[in-house]
Amino acid sequence: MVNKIFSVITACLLTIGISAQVGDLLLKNGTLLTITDGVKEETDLLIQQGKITRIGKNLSAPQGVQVIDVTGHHIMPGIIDAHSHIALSAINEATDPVTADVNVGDALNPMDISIYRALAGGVTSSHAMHGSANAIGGQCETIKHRYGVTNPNDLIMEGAPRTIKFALGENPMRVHGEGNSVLPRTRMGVEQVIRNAFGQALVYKKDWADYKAGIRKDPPKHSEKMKTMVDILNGDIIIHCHSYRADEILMLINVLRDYGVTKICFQHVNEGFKVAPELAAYGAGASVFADWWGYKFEVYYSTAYNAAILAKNGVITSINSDSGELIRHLYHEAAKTQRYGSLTDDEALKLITLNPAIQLGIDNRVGSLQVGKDADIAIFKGHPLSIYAIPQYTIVDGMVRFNINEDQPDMRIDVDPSETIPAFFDHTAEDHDRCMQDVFETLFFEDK
Amino acid sequence: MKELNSLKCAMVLSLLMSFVVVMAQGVNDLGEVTTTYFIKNATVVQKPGTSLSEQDIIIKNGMIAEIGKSLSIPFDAMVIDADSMFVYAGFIDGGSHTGVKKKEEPQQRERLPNPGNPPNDKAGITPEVSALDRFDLSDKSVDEMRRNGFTISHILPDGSMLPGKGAIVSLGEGNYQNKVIRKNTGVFAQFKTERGAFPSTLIGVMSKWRDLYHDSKNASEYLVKYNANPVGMPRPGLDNATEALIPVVKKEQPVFFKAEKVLDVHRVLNLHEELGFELVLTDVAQIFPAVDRVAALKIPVLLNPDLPKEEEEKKEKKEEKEKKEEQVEEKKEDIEDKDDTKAKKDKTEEVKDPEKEALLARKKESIKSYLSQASLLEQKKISFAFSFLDGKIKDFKANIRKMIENGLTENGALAALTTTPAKLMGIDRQYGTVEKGKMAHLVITDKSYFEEKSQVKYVFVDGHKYEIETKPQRKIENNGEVVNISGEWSYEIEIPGMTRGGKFQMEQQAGDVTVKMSSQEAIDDFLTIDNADLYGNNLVFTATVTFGGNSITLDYDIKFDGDSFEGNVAIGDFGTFPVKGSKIGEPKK
Repeated sequence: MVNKIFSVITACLLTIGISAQVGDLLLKNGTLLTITDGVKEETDLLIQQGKITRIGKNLSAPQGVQVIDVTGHHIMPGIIDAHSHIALSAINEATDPVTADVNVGDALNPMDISIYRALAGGVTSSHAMHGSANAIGGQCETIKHRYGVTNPNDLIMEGAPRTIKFALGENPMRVHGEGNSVLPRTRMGVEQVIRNAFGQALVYKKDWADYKAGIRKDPPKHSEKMKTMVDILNGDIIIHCHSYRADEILMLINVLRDYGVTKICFQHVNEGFKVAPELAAYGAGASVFADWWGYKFEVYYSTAYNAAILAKNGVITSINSDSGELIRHLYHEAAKTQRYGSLTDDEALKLITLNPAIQLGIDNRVGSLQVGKDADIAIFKGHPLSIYAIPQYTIVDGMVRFNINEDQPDMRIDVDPSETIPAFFDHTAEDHDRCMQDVFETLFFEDK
Repeated sequence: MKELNSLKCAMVLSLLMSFVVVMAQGVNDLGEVTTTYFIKNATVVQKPGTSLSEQDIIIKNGMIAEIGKSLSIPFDAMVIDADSMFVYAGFIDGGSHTGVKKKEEPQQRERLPNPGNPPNDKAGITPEVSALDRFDLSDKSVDEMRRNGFTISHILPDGSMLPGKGAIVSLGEGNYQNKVIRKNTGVFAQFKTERGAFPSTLIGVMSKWRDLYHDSKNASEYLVKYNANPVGMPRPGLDNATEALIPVVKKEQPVFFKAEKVLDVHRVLNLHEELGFELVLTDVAQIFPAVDRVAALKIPVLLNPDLPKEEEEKKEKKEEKEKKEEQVEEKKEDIEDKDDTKAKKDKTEEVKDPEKEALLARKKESIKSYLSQASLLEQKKISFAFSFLDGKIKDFKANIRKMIENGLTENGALAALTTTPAKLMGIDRQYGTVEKGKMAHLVITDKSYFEEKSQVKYVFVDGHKYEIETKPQRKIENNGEVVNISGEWSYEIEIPGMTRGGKFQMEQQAGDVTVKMSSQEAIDDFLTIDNADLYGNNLVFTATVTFGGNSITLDYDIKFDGDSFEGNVAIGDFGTFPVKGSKIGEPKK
């Protein structure tokens, strides 16, 4: 019997992988936390072809559309995590201080159970990022948590803008300066690495322009790295920069100003509260932890009021997880800003919905409950900012991807045929941030 | 047996080695008596689905000269009486390191001055290399492939990201140069990387592929212009990798991309779709979740034939059996004492952990998907053959039988071994079927190859005959008398110049025997062996022991007579040595 159930699940999962991954649903009689249009009590929400098509009272379900009674439940837009490393098979290409060419979109792992755990915390999208080993890291991928697919391409949020990881401070200094004895060994070096890369990109751009114009006869060497740097200069890619200290945050703003680059969101930004007006003036975003610091020297000067201060100063601010564990309760993390900073419900919820959507350039699609937007929805028993909140359903593109009552206890997609049972579960992977995954060998095991 | 005293082991090994060398010097090399063969009265499976019985085959000058009924025997022919035997085309391996030397790992890793931009060879990028550069026909892996019926290998070089190009070779003996069927079959690629240099991860490899491919593409276009009129144009000056990849860009050579699991498969398919090179998915162990995409893109597949083991299932069956026995007993008692029924029932009801049961069920389901994968490929009409990069040729026969038990047709299996790889490699006009005019690459088995316990008797490579020694079929030899070998036994192996010994503990229950073995270094440290088979008084089992990291197999074949036994043990590749022993203790209860 158990076998049968599982083969049915497997069959379903396989079919999902092939067919369109959008659904129709009618959510009946819930409390809608719309983010952009206040709270709507006892309201229905209709989803067709994966989009929100109607919001109102006493809607009737078109034929064949499944109805979920959500009386007494809170319905909010699916939570978005602007900084995560789940669903990835590779995170850091730590061999070079500039790896703008690599793209974690090439290493997506749709079978990572962390996706399901994120869904169980109401998270429908995340920003799968390259790590912070390099001053200019790899390109990142905005994914939707369509857990159940096996083709990595099916995770990609089609049409989302391109993003890239930069990193300032100790990590690139340690990996490359100390680890490999190449630039950068200091914060000054990090700045120079970034300036060099932009400078080389301008040369690359000119070389190719000359070749295309016939001024140069032989083709210049192809470089995915330089091509990506040119795309940043052209404004086609949003930079997401790992940073902690106020001085280096201002440094990067100055560098970007010199090269005319405006699309920037700072990540972690623990000292962001010191330079909030400057960030707001440059239009830079800030994606922060609610209260996580002290894990290395540059992360001591921190406060739990950071998010509130940034938000009140007009910086587009979000709260992220950077962890397979924190991603399961970002709604708690957002609620902390009510204790530390007295943000309103809407302001607090924006930190995990609309604001990260803006930072990723997908706010036209997700981040609020509005007609026309993607039906990415989290349904809670209790208010999501309450410590008693329990996620009930999580919906991506109109398809229920998490259902607290009906999901099987074992939701793995890919079962290792040689696993030993009872299986040992290694918790360490979730409990630590993966920002520096794949680089420890370089740091500790090389003969110096 | 744990790790034995390494000094002693080294001594044993060196002694064995010297023994083997002495033996080898005695071999006379006179060449073949004749190159004409007459295979008499066999069932000839010409190609998948076409089987003719009572056929004769004449082999001449390395080729199949004639096939038919009651042919006349040429005067110079050596006759092979193949009554009740089956003849197939020699099997073709789709990709392996057969006879190819491993790339030497530098003892100490070199610290590169600029790990982000290393020279190609330091990054494992050497597509200009040919597998033939490091090929050795006398390597034992060649013989091993041949013993298993493979007469042609597609050899691939060893290395990391882009180790080099493959070649198709005939698995004969002697000078390798006249065994080469095709050079430069295509470029071998992997996600494996060198340490401490770009690219070091999957994402690095993907990016590097794009750079290399675009450079070769640009170079190839530039060469056309330059060759047409070089005036005013800089010299092309291509590096080795750029030049070696031009045939790939031009789709003259495919990429044999190793993709172990389904995510690798998707990633390789992404590169294929993005860049446009011809692709052969190579050494794939898990592909079932991606079959529809593979079928839609019409990509050929080389399967890794290794399959996950079903140990748990075995155990379960045993448990079930025991349970049934218990129930039978219970029934007997029921009749005797009806009042006691309820108590007995409670006692026998097993306490099962539902979580563990559910996990086991999923694992079983997963194993099943692997076992039926070949069948799924067949159903989806994906053309597939086998490769042996990670897979073990030793287990191949057992594994292909499992695939057949799980839905693969015998014709499909034979196609994967013969016609499909021949076509894939572009050698199907000369190889892959048993037809007049084709090269005499044949496998002759004592019964249908796909039957259990079938054995390869002869292999023909380019018309040269290789007789394959086979283990005799075992029968109960002492008139079906059941012996009981339970107890403790001492043993001694006679190796020239030395004797080695230890203890066995045998536990026999009906037909099942469990053997525990110790050695003189650690006489009470027992290794449990669960592959023993008892045929009458004849016990056969294989022990695998490790010497300082290397594992070696000991194949025991012994016969019991009362309180003593005698027989042989084959130690790895060192040879077969006599073993004898006697009973020293009764079974412990």
